[in-house]
Amino acid sequence: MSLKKFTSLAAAAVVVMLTSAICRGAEEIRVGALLALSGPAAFLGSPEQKALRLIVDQMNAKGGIDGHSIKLIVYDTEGNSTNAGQQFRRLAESESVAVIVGPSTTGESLAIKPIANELKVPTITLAGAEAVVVPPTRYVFKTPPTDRVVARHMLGYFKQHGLATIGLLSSADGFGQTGANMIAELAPSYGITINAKEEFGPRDTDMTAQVLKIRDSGADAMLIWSVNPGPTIILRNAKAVGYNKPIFNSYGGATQQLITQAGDAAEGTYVSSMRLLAPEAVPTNDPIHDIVNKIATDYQKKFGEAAPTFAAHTYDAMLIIDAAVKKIKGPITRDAIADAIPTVELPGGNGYFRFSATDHNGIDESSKPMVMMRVKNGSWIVVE
Amino acid sequence: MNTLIQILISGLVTGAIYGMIAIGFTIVFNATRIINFAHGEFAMVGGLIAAVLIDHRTPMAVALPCAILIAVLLGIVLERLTAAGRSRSVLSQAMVTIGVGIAYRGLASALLDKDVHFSPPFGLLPTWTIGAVYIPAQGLWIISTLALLSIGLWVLFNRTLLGKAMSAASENPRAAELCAISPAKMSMLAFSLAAGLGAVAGVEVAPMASAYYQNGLFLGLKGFSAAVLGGINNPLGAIVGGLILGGVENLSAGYIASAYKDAIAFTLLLILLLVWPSGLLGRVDVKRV
Repeated sequence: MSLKKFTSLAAAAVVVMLTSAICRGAEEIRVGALLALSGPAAFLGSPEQKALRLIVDQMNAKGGIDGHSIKLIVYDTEGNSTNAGQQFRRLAESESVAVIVGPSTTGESLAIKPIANELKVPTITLAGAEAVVVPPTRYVFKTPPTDRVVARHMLGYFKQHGLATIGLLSSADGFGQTGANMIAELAPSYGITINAKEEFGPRDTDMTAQVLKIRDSGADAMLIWSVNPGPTIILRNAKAVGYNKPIFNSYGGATQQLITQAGDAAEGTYVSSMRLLAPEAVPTNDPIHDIVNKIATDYQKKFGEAAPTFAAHTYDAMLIIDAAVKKIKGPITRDAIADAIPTVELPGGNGYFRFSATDHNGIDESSKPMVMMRVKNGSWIVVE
Repeated sequence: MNTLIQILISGLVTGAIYGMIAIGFTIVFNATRIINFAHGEFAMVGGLIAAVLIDHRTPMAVALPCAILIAVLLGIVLERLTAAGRSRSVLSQAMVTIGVGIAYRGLASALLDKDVHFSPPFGLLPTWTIGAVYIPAQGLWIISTLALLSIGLWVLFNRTLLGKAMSAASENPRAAELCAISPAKMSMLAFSLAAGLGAVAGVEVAPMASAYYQNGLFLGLKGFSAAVLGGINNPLGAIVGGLILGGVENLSAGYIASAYKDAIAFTLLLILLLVWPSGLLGRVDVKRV
């Protein structure tokens, strides 16, 4: 080969190596998000999106994760499992994302679980039900506390306050049914009897019959396991028939919306909520104190409103992705992320996460993720 | 005993909602022999537009008529679209209604929003409490509206020439035309009336059970079942069907198992239809051969 040809070949090789080195340094991490931005679960998806964009912007302002900028692609599933499945495939195949955050609801998450494992895309879901990560599958994780943790929190509260019998009223959808089964499974170990186990359709217009049945069963308290509009309608029905026993809501009801929509029918109702609903009540020596208050302050500053508890779900997901990527030595692939997440331990808005090969949720009672709150004079206050 | 009465009252209110929606099906069927599968969407549109307007600080006295008017206009649009197929079979016209129903749902979700809205209750009427039993004020509105509507419709169909003309136009369009009754005009009138009544139902339900762009499917299904149960060609049958459906649902929820209330209600519907195929108050179609 002539000297001229050799030099030009060498120069070309150097240029290629340099560009690829630069490109690898700037190689972005594509994060897909499936959120219920509209529809009945929009009260979950809307704050989840806001918090997600908030933390991604914060991370990108500091150079991204380990120097990789984050490219966020968000799809609106409308809370619909069919949409979630189709959009998951689109994110995985057309958009080539490395990791997916979402979907927002239990029903959707259960629907995409087999797809995530089929397409081998690590997915941090935002679902409540334990069934999403039990038994654990390689690619599926979740950030919110499981319904088991919430159920134990509530049953513990009932036992502590001498409420020995309860009437259970759950919605006939993924969230309600898994929650009701969880309560039914755990109640005997707390010495609590379920006097009445009633259901209602998520679109039903009136639950007076079920409320009356619970009233007539003589239960000490009513437990509603549903997301809106169920609790709003039930609280109104209960007030109208003069139901005078305490009414408890699962974390599906831990929203400001419940108070604004149910009005004075919401007065006195209880909810088991994640700590973000009352950041000032987290003790200063609690490892999650700082992060909970950071989320609350940043969200309030950026969006001018108090952070709903669901905002922590996506915020925590990005913290986990950040920690997982930093642990990867080598190319950042879907499999590498999926295998790095089970090694992550960090404080998050939902609680102290300790992931493992057998625990893909990472939160148990030891990090006290739930707090009991009650509506007093139109706002949520913490009760012991 | 109080529980039973309370459950029956709940059943009455729920049944009145179903009945009001069922009437829309029977009116359209009476005038055109079409089953209007988009009817549930009129209820949805009425409730949703009213709720969104009220959210934007429109006074209720303006928002409600606006919502009903828009639903009536949508009904006229639907009628014009089905009219194109009048020379073809009733079945293809029914398919047009399915398509238009989906289109209206999509328009509502795109132009309005996809949130669950609870509009404020109408007020004015009190909540009746008799001993330990109560009738919610909004429920009272629904029941009284249904009562007024049923009287009005009965008078319309049985005592006025216009009502007779509508029935005539559906029974025998040719003969009706010869008697200077325009089947096209009767069809337009029927769709407008049905859309308006559906919107009234939607507007009255919104404070109790929320207005949401996907409610049309659920309300339409229940209304259609009630209409078929009572006799698809009889407006009084629609009301009776609605009340029975609402009553059975609530009684099942209260006394059997709330998880199966829909299954029980629909099984009962099937059994009743086996015994009375044209519905409880329906007229069997007799054709001279």
